[in-house]
Amino acid sequence: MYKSEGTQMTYLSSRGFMWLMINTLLSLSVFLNPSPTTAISKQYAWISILIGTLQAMIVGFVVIKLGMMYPDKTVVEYSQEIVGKFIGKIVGMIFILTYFSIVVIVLREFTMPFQSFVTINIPLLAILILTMILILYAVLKGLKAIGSCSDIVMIFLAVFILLIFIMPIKNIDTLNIKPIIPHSIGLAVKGSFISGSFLAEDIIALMLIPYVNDKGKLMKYNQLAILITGICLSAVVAIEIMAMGYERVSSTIFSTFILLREAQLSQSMERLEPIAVAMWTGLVFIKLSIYFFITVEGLRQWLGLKDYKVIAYVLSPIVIFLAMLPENISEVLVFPSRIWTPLIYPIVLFGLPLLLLIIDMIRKKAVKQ
Amino acid sequence: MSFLDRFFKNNNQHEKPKPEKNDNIDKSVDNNIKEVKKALNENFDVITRKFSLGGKTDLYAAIAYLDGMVDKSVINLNIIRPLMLKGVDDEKFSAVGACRYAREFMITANDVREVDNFSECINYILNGSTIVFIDGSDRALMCETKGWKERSIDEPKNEAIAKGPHSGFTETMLTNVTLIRRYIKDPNLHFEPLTVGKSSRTNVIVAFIDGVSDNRIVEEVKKRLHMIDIDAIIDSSYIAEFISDAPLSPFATIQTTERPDKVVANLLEGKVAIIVDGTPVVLVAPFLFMEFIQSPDDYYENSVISSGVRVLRTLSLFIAIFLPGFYIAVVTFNQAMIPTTLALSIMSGRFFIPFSPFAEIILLMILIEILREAGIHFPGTIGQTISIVGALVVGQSAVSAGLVSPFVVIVVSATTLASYAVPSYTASYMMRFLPYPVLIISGLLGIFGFTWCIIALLIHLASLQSFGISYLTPLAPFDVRDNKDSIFRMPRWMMVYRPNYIKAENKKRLDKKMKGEDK
Repeated sequence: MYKSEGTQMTYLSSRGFMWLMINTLLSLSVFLNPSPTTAISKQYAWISILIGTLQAMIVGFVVIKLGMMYPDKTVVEYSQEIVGKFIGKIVGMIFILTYFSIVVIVLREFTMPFQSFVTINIPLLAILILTMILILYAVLKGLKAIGSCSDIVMIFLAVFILLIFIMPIKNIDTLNIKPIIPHSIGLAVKGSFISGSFLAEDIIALMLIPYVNDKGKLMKYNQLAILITGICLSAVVAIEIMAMGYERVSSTIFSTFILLREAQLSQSMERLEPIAVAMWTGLVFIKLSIYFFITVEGLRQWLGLKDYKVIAYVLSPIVIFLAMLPENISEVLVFPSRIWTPLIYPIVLFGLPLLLLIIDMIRKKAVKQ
Repeated sequence: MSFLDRFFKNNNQHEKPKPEKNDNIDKSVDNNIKEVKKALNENFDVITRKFSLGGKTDLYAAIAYLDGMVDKSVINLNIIRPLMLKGVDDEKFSAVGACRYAREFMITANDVREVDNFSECINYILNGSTIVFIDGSDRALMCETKGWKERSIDEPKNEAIAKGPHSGFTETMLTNVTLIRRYIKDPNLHFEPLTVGKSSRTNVIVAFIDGVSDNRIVEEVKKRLHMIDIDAIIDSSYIAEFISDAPLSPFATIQTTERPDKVVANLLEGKVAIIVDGTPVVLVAPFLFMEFIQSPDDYYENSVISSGVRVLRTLSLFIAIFLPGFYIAVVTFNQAMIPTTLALSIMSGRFFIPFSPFAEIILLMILIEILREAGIHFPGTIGQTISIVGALVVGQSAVSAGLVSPFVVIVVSATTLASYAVPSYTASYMMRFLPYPVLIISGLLGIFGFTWCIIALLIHLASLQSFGISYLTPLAPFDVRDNKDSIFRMPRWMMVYRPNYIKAENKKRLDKKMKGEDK
């Protein structure tokens, strides 16, 4: 009822930005990464994730460098300044579409554990609509509310990661992960692109930088976020390989849930995967709402509108419709393995920000001379 | 923007100050008395008395007051007695004027002021003062004679604590101000008076400590109080409803308390208190979510123990809201989650129950709700008996009659008990309401619905603000320094600074850095 003034631009602190980043990067990759990475790199998957983290940190460096060139604008706005109005619009649209594709695909991936692990008798459409209502609610409340949620959800994330580390302790067999030093480093490198492409989702920073209030520490916190995520992910994969063996990890889609289902620390602590799924809901929800927010906000800037609420209302049924399209889990997983990692990762996540940065530097030098 | 806003604006347009027809005080005492009676509609409790001033036959004075609002001994001894019996020194009298003479040489009451317009006189009479009119003077004297029957200072019933001060606020504003003033003897403690309500003309006081409080919040509170347009304020909750950020949310965004020590502690943290005349409940703004689990007790006990108690209360808060929903989600959808032996005992308890688990639990919850509501309205003497009987009927007989399973009785009674373990009275209505939506959604959608509820509540909480401060502060945005006094209470010497979210000049509580580290 009363809108207090003066707090409009202080949406996120840079530490809050780090939590948001960790949430966004870790929530999905902890479930979807182990299996495909292990399929390629076998028991060296944990090394290849560390290599992937290094790649993502390069992306993160480029992204923050580019973003800090125009600290008060988003990529949709400044791309038009760097490469001209028309091409800039195309570049902006590519970014918006990338974000949008993530909203759709993650929303669908989000429903899968519910369908396969917890409640089987709820129709897919009901879950999609209910989840979309939550996301819409959060997005309409603005970035500040999402940031606050992410601070709280961080507690869930910490508990969740702890659960993964502690629960399977009885099942661990270190023989599974040996030899620790790989015979062929190539095997580890080949698998690194999957985790690299997941962690390079750091490009959401391109849209968030204007809303961070202390930008000086942004680079540090951004890189820290990628590093923490990478290390956590690597440790989770290592535990999975030790507990289940790499053949089983690579053949099960949600290996992390299976890990928790089979883990039995004591008589009273067993079958905890519904709790894990409940926590996962919180994590993925933050990811979804932040992506939906930047999609909607980006589209608002692209179209030059004043208020993003209309776009959010129009876009949400479209998201639900598109999320209904894939028939089953394997069709959903085509997107990360066939489109995201081989196409979007090198072109949009890596190439486009680098290209923009280089053009901008050359342009600024030319202007100086 | 909103309905309320329009409501305010429209009324502000209508509200033009009416020019008083004849606002001057007449020089004749008789006319003045007539005017006073007319202005107060000849009500029986308007008392006027005309008498001779200093025994003179040509000089009269008169007093007017409202019966019941004044302390009569003050009027008799300190106003009428000197005015009638003390001789008038003619030389001085003509030199300084009638009014000033009476004020400076005759009346012995402690607070006497000269008033020069008539409507102000009426206002003072309505507030319990006595007005003295004197022949030949176009000014009147106001003598402070407020006094009425009032309740003595008791222990607040809804916020009883084990240790610490036991006095509570009363219905009299001045007593309440004094209670606060007795704790803080700081010249920077401000009490700014306002009047709210067209016909109740309720006195409202905004209290804050200058330099410790955030000026922006103080201004915001005053701005919102000025916007209130209502005929009468009976309780401070009227004001709370008008000025709180989210009056429709189940979560209160403004604190209500009857404890002076609580208000004082909040003032010292830089918050703003609103004291309303006629009610023992004082409002404090801003109010944050973490204060639901905090009680003055924590600060009077060992910090380690009170930290533990706070953790317990947090747990109770979650149990009070989520336990029925969680039970229903697990029992109807995810039986596999429960260890086998427990699942077996739940199922064997339910064997002869004619209802579904959902119907069973909602039936019992509504019964408990009725019991709780009835317990408030029972006449005091039989209240306890009836509630024991009610508890026996609901608990024991319902189980043995085969209406509900024993497990559900445990779940519902744990929920009810947990809701009383949260100390904030403000929270109790929230905790009575919220279990129902959670129960219904979880009953329909299982664990998914349960999680959905948690996230929906989380977004709601994250989007709330109280006077410009995020409701979940200091958890989100996370602040290490402020978390010394949120879920845990650190020892007093570690809380060097006042809360970070209050932007004020004076931020330090202690000058020493740490215990034993003094230089």
